[in-house]
Parts: sequence; C-alpha cells; structure tokens
Amino acid sequence: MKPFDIVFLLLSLVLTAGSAWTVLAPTNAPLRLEVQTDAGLYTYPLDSDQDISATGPLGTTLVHMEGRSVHVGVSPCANKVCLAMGTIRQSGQWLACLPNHVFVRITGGSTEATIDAGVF
Amino acid sequence: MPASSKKVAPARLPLVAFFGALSLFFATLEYLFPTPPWFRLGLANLPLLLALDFFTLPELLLLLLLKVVGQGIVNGTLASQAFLLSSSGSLASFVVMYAVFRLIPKGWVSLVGLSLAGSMASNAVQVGLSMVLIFGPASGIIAPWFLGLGTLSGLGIGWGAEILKRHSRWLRRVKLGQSS
Repeated sequence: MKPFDIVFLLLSLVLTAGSAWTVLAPTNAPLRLEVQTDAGLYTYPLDSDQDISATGPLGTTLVHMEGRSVHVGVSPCANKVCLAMGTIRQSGQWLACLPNHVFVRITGGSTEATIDAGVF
Repeated sequence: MPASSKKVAPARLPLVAFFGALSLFFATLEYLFPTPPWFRLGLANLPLLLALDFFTLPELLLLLLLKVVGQGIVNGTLASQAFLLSSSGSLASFVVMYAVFRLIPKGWVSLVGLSLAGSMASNAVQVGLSMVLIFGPASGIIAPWFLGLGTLSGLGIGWGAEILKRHSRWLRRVKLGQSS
C-alpha cells in the first residue's frame, strides 16, 4: 500500500468509528421504537405489541411490533427492500422504506428494570 | 493520453461504451453476493477506477453517465429517490477520485486509496442526503453501517482494480491506444 492509501484507510476507519460513537453510544433512556414519517416522529415503548400504520407518499407501511422485535409487515413500495431487511431487536438497528419515506429505528440503551413483585 | 481534449473523439466512443457495458455487467454481478438489501458493493465502479488512467475528463463523465443510468435501469430505480441518492453518491465519488488522481502524485496513491476515497465520499453524501431530504436526522443511525461496509467494499474493489491494472495485458493495450 502507498502512503495515501493508508491515509484514506485511516480516515475511513476514523469516520466510521466517529459516526458509530455519535449515533450508537448507549444512553440511559429506555429502549423504544422511533418511527419517522413525513408527518413527524412517533415513539413507542419497545415492549408493546402492536401494529403501527406509518403513512407516506405511497400509502401505508405497516410496522409490526411483537415480543420486543420489529419488522415491516406490509409496504406499498415496489422493491420491498424494507420487508427484506427482516426483524430488528436491538438498539441501533433500523429499517427503512425509502420510497414511502418511513424510517424505523430502535434507540435507547437501558433495559429499564422493572419490579415484578415486592416482598416485605 | 489526450488529457486536454474537451470533447469525446468519435473514435473513442466504442471504448467508452465498452467500459459502460462493463459497469453494467458488474452492477448485475453484484446480485451474486449476499449483502444487506440496502447496501450496494459498488462493483460497477471498477471500470471507472481503471479508466481514470487513460480516459479524458469528458470521456470519464460520459462513462459516469452510462454507469449511473445503466445501474438505474438494471436496479429498476430510475425515476425514484433511490436513483437520486445513488447518482449523487456516484457523482461525489467520481469528483473525489478524479481530484485525488490528478492532485496526488502516482507514487503516493494507488487504486486502493482512490477507491477508499470514492467510497467514503459516496456514502457520506448518500447518508447526508437521506438525513436532509428524505428521512430527517433520525436516519443518521445508518452512517456507521454505510461507512463501515463502504470501507470494506472500497478496499476490496480498489485491491481488485489494482491487480487488474498490474496484470491485464488487455488493459495495457487499451492504455497504449491499441485496443483489440
């Protein structure tokens, strides 16, 4: 490798690590699902089971949440890349439907420990 | 190399078209490799990388146009926002690769460095556009994935292009203007 090959490789690695540090750093916020559409940003607790209708320019993208996992169930787009992206379960994972302007991501890092029972 | 010419010489058009066809072939070949559905390896850039050495700027721009439109047809994304992202990424990548190729002496950078620089520019522009024009700031979360995988693919494509450049007798003949 020549000198500037190494420079560009290091620059690429620094950019990757820097962006990862910026957007994937764990936070104390509870795990939640964010659904971004043209109409705005909607937030849901990750442990809720429901179908979310996200409306975009092509129609409605159906986002299915069940058992702390999320996938796109139905999409009006042509290529169905969002369906092919499969299921996401962890903070930092995402799904996107580019033609319908729907972006789904899991954020937060805390598992938000809950008390099942108290004993005195 | 006729670097100063401002037009594409008619005699050179078949060679540019052939490299455009090679780009399309590589764009189709990508489907053989298992990748995340939202990620393109960028194999179609390989002919563009190789052509930097012996095409003039107008010829390179024509090749870029053939590559971008051809990829849009192969992927079925022509006239969509995916095409806008892809073509912007390709243009950014080309501008950076061409600038690096022209400004940095050849002994200091190989096709590996050019490919890495182009990949970085392409992915940064695509992530930026998706944040600004399409999905909003939340989509910044895709940046590490695009940049990380882009680094790997840029490294691989640059390495492959460098091997072809060193060992292909056909390329050597093309460079000398004796295309068969």
